[in-house]
Amino acid sequence: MIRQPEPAQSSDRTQAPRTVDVVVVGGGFFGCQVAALARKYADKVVVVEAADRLLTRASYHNQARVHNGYHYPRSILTALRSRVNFPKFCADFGDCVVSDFDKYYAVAREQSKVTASQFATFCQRIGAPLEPAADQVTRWFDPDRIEMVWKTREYAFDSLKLAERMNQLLAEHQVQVQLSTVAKHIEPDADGVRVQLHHALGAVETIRARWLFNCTYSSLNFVLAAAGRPPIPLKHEITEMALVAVPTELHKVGVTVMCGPFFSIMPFPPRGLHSFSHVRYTPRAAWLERDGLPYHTGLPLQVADFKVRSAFVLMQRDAARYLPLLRQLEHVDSLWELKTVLPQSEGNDSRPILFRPDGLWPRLVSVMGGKIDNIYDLPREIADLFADHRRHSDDLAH
Amino acid sequence: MTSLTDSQIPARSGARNSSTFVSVVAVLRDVAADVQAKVRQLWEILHREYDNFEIVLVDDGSRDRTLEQVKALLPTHDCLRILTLSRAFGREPAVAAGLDAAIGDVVVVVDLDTDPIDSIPELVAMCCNGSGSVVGTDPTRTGESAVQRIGATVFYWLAQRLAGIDMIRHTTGLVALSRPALGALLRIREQAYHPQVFLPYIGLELKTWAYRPTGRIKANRGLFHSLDRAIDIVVTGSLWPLRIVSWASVLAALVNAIYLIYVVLIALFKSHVAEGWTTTSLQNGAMFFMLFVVLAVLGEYVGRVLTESRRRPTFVVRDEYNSSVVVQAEQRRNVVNESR
Ligand SMILES: Cc1cc2nc3c(=O)[nH]c(=O)nc-3n(C[C@H](O)[C@H](O)[C@H](O)COP(=O)(O)OP(=O)(O)OC[C@H]3O[C@@H](n4cnc5c(N)ncnc54)[C@H](O)[C@@H]3O)c2cc1C
Repeated sequence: MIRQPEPAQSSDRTQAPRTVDVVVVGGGFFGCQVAALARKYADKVVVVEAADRLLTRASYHNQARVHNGYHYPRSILTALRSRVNFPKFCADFGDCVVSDFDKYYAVAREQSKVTASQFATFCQRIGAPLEPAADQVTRWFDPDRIEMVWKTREYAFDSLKLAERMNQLLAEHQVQVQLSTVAKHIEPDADGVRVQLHHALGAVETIRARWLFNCTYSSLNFVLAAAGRPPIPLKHEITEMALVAVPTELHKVGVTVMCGPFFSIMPFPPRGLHSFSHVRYTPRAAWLERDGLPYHTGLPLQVADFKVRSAFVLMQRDAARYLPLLRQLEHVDSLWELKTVLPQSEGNDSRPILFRPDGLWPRLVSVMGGKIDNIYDLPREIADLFADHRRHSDDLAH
Repeated sequence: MTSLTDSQIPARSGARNSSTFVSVVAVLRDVAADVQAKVRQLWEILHREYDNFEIVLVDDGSRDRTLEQVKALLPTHDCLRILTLSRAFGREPAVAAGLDAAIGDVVVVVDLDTDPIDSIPELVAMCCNGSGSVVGTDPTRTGESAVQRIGATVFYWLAQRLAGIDMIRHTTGLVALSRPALGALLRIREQAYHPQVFLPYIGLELKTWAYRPTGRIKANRGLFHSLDRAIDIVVTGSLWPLRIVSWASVLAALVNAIYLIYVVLIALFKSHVAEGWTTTSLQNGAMFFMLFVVLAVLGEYVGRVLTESRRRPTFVVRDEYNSSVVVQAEQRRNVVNESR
């Protein structure tokens, strides 16, 4: 099913464009999910991915946390939603979920937006398991800076295994995957779109599709610009997450300090290391994309375009004040990614899914999930979309 | 420091120190006029000297445009942090807030108006060799009146001789603290922040560094303020006034007892007692005097006990703003150009 890029000589000018039902641009976790779901309603589905493998961008460059609500003391709805999704995700992707470590949440004394008692009350309200950490664990922390430490239940996913699963899923659903291919020029027409695909080896092919799903996360507006459509307001942040080797005490341990300019460290299964992020130092430059502001319309930004100097030293100095064991961290590597959030969800930490048919060309649909487990809202949206359309075309037929 | 901004950055002198992480803390209060230039200058020095540094600016409830002015630097200067306090708490609590937030191996507290910021590397070097700290002093007491100077001398003498407070003299507020010293200082969770008293108490390696500030230092502004601080330091540093007063009361009680015996003996052995008004009133006066002194001192300590036991925060941080060095427009256009 997987088509590798074709040599340059097979120019599209010689043949009529290939026609499919659905083109999904972006082979991240969301693109794969959308493609598999779309197969219920469409025969020919193609996923177009710029990289030479699936799930190499944000779906790989992240903290791999399977959210269980703890993270959102300021957005109880998001927290409750996470609580509902957590068991589903663990059941559906059990072989991709790593749970053999202890996850601790701690609340800081100064500059924290929640107090220990507020956090405990919050967890009780959302029904998230919480028990005071053992004394020997609490002793790791500086008591002058940390008010309270709890043991919680939160897991990590292995994004390499997820990628493996997505390969299988797309094969099972007979979705065609076109790797090393960038969707560059999009022309909406009467009954769908024409997409110009640029293969890494230089070949250019135009295909026609009745639907186009734009699942490109940080490149959403690049694709919209390629279709001559105005951008969706988005905030982008250059982010760095350090990959570190931890001292033995922390091998099977994850720690998150709430809720303010603090840090989080937890196992990163695909590399056998820990990922280490810091609310103050992980985001670097940030910018806003929306209509009227100059925004990026060139190639989708690659990691090399925005990678800057590592801030590991800053993260470590700060975090070691709370958890002195972190002085022994060894910096191995960093994951760089553009984090993209909807401006409206910035303040309250809610990470809603964006599902947005274009205003003028409703068959051009942009999809963005703020976190991995947000997929459970997708089936409904996609079903509605195709149902609406069917009703609409039935009306036209009569 | 990010590669994206390297183009705008002046050339670095070859030898940057990459092993020490330096934090510089400065308190800002209504300094909108020249704060930008000063922070820029500070940033340039640090950037030239260190691979890893941060500037922690604490806005102590400024009422002018200070905060706006420094926030305008965030998009172009990395490693800047701004803490705003919820109201004006005063210099000492504001410094304490900055120290609490700083993450460096060495933390330097400077006054941007009066301290020679080019000397920061020297201070850092002095403190880096050990686990200690360096305290800036100004033995000439630049810009102070004769009364204040005499007052200071008397105060230091009294504090040393009578109260036994081992204190660094003529401090300006400039300090450089290594992480261990800072840790110990922060652990003294008292309401007041007086490094000139606490650092000798902590006892880690301590050096002084004499210099002439470029102006009158703010910490010593005004006679009344100085007196206020003197009382604060004495009360913070020792139980001496309380002890003296206790002894005096014991003495007064003894005198009283003798006087009572005297009265009783007179009553027993003298037949005509038409005694003088003088002794009675003298004794009354003396006793009341004692009483009020005792009350005053007790009041001071009770107040202290109360504030300590309430554990009210010394400062409240309202917000924190951090550098967000934006990808420069030119560079973004570069990326665009490559695609055509
Ligand atoms: C630092 C960070 C930490 C995070 N932590 C967590 C976490 O702990 N837990 C969690 O659940 N979520 C987390 N997230 C969020 C999560 O990573 C994203 O929500 C999720 O990965 C988005 O998946 P996606 O498929 O939409 O995007 P991606 O995986 O980025 O997929 C988009 C794909 O589109 C491709 N593409 C782009 N343009 C084109 C084009 N023109 N033609 C062809 N292909 C194109 C890209 O190559 C890419 O593969 C984090 C995100 C970041 C950045």
